[in-house]
Amino acid sequence: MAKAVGLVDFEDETMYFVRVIYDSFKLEVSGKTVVTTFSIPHREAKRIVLLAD
Amino acid sequence: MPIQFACPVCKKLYTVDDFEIGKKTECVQCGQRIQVPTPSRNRTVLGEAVDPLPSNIYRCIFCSAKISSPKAVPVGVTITCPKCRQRFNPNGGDSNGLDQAPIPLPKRIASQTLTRETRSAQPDEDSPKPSLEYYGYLPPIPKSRTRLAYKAVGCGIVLFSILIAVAVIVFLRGCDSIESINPFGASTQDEELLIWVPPDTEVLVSINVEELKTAEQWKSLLQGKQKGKQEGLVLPDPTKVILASKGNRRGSQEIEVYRLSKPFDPNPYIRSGAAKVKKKDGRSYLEFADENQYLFNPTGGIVILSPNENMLFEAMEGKTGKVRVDPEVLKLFREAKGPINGVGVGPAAQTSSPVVRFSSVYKEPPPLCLSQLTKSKMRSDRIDFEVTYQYSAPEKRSWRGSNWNPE
Repeated sequence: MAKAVGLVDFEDETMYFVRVIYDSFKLEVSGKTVVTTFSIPHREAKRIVLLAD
Repeated sequence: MPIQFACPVCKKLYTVDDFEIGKKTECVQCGQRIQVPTPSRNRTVLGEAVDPLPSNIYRCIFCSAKISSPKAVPVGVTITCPKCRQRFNPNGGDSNGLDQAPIPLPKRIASQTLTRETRSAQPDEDSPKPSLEYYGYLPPIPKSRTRLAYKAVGCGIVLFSILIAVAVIVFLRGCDSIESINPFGASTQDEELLIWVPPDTEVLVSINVEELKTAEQWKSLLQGKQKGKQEGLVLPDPTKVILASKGNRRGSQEIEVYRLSKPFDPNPYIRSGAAKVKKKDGRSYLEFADENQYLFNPTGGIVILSPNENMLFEAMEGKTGKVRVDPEVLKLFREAKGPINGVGVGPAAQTSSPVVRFSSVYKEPPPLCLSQLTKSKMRSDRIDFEVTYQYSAPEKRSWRGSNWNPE
């Protein structure tokens, strides 16, 4: 995904968030419904909270 | 060919070209008038006759040795060469089978340069045909030439293999770049999904879930369209968008709206220098070398606006449409040095009216999408999330123009 958005700045905090969840990102499609699942490790969650602050 | 002659009076030497023959001039030293002489030619002279061998002296036809005999050998009688011990008939004829054998040339002649005498010594037609190498008419092909041929063939094989390798590399690299741009992977089902997900797929890239919570806004937008009112979606920051109009306001200009029907890979354009990545206010966009050509949200936005009608991309397929743009809008578009987040097209899309996102450039609106966090669970080391997106249409073919009904 990081390659897919090669135009964006990798220093961006949002992109950091993308990279964190990309490792566990899964996607299932059935009809009109798309279900995505991902997980965020606690250490990264703390970091995200810090970034948000 | 130069000719040399001397003045007969003062003996001064002159050298002139042969085309000066017969010309008259004056000697530069003594002033004597002289004429360029004709050079002496190679005249034909009578050859000197050589006395034949005495009647009692013979020459061996095999080793050319001189054989002297006290008496002349009678016709039909053979003698033996004392040197090479070969029997032959010194007077010719075919008294026995020995003298019927072809007279071989000395072997050293074969390696020598052929002269008139050796050429005239060709055997009769009745005699067995000698090999070419024997007479030396055609020299054998030098080994260096055959080596050159082998080298040429080898070089050809190497070049061909290099070409094949380059083609394979180019093919694989192209495939990689296309795959890398697809955030869903390579399966056909995912590609289908990529088509009918709302075109501002930056939502999926930047995980900006807020963009997916716009079902109600879309609904209000469509209701407004049904009543013939404004067409547009209110954005939090309308100052970052550019407006276009399908109306015929005075001074409006027709522009091309391109839509990519497949994911666009900007990397080749960036690598070749045809486009540069620009960024402003945290958003990236492509600026092409051609004037006034920008590509916004190239990974998913798939909308290109250009006042230049010749603008075509190889990665672009098909669908184009013409819209008219207000002059002030066009001016804004041309003067925009930063990113342009959206384009509004519609009857009421004026500078002061609400605007829509990229998706409104489509003739048919994209399917609605509702997103909600359906599950979250705290684990010992992580938090698991599950987000469900509910779309209003299963596939793109089912919603076309005015027939599309979100209800």
